[in-house]
Amino acid sequence: MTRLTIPCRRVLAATLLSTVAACVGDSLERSLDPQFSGPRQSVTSGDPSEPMIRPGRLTWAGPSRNFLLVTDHYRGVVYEFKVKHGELVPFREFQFDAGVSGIAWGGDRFFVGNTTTASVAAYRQNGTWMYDLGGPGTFEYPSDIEVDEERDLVFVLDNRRQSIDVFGVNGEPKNTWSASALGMENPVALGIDTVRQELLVSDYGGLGTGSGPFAIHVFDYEGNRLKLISGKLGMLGARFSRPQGTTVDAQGRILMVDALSCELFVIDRESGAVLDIFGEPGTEPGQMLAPLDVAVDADGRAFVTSNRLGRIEVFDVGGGS
Amino acid sequence: MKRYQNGVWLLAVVLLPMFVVAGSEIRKAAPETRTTESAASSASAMMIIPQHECQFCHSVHGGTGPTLTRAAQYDLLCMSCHNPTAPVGAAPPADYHTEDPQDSNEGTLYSFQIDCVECHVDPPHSLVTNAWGGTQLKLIRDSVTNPSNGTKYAIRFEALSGDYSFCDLGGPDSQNPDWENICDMCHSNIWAERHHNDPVAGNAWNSSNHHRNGATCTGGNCHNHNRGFQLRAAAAAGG
Repeated sequence: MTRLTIPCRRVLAATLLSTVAACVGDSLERSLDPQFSGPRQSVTSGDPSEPMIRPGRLTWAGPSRNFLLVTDHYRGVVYEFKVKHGELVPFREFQFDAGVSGIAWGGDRFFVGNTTTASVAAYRQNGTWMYDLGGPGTFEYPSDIEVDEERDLVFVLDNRRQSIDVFGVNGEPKNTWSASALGMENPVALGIDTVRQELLVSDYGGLGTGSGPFAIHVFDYEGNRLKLISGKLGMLGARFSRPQGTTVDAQGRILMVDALSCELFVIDRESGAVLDIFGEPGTEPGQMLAPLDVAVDADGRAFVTSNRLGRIEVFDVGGGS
Repeated sequence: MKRYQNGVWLLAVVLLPMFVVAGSEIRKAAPETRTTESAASSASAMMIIPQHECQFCHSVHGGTGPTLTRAAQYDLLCMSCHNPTAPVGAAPPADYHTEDPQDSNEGTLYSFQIDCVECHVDPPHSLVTNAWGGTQLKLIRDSVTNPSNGTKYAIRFEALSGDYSFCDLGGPDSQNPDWENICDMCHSNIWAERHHNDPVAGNAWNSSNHHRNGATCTGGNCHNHNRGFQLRAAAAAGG
């Protein structure tokens, strides 16, 4: 196992803990549409020096994909970082109600799921609300989102309803897939490969009962399963058992974090073989507790949300373009 | 041949305890023996609940914990499914009971942290019957130690509101010194004590010494478990 880290990581950890929100006060955006009312109305964050607490999902953002958006369900905040040479520079934060979950960028907007309000909404990069996806009752617990803007597709995973809803980027509903119809048991997170036009779904399966494996399912955009990468190893063992967020790097390799083993897996898309593993449980640099999502840049730097530690770990996984 | 026999014995000695452990739990998990909270009784207290199948947490091959659990740390096992960002199925999302992390200068380390198994049974295999014959909800222990003074209290947690719930200080049996509620065993009936001697001036709730007896503390916009029981800002503002 090779664990590489980029030089900025130590700086990053300190940065995130001490200066994330210290830099946001001046540029804080709380742009809310008047229609955005009721329980979905934002609340005031109060102390602007509050640290990141429970980072969950993350996504690249901005026309040049040089910003990183990170949700914090505890604070109800979406942090926006500018990424410069692998360093995360706090840029601003958007204050929502508690419960922000999935997030994805597409076109000129970002989509945010909220498990408290059971809704998914689109916002401009400055935080201006644009529209909600679906209507009242469409979602129960929208936990992850992915977008392919070129194909005009937004995928929303609701892991209480056990379904994936497909919309156009402008919000028009296109399809709904039930997890069971797709052969899944406990889907928890999404990833997307816009080059191959494939949707990745992490599935806890039957949690080891044998009724369904821990797995990453690979679907085409029509919902046809192309591949199942099982976490099972042999008869009873497991190489991974709590697959969470996934992404695909410049070489087409699948990156996936395991919330239980606290590892970042690099997986060959064709064979399903584990090519490399980074990280381990713990609180030291390079260690993680309950990682939930991963994003990778063109240089092979993987940014992983370490949920329980309230920080982001950065690994050099190679495979840069 | 001798070496072979020795090898078989060695294998048996190594593997037998593992299968005894695994086998006993598999027997407990047989469908006919499963139970649910609604069907709970003292007789069913030792049966595996269907929400926690053996294999969710244990792995005969590759289990790294002391009882072949998939992780050595209990909290990781719990939070891998009860995660607020992506809970599995119907698993209630939860977070640690800490001081408000937003008050912490260190970001990741708190002045106190009450782990899952300090209030919930360890291991979380079966329903718990308390000393009064009632079934504890949410796999709450029948006795819990107050982390502040080290005193162990018998707990009755048989309802989500009203008597025998989080803080039923007004119930008919509420003054019984033999047991406590899960919340007010630490956060007593005095507002100031519940709120760390820092009452919120001007807050209407402050006029009552009993806060919200019998209420579902974790419900609504109040002390949600998925925020570590911290009062949400909306609730603090009267929402």
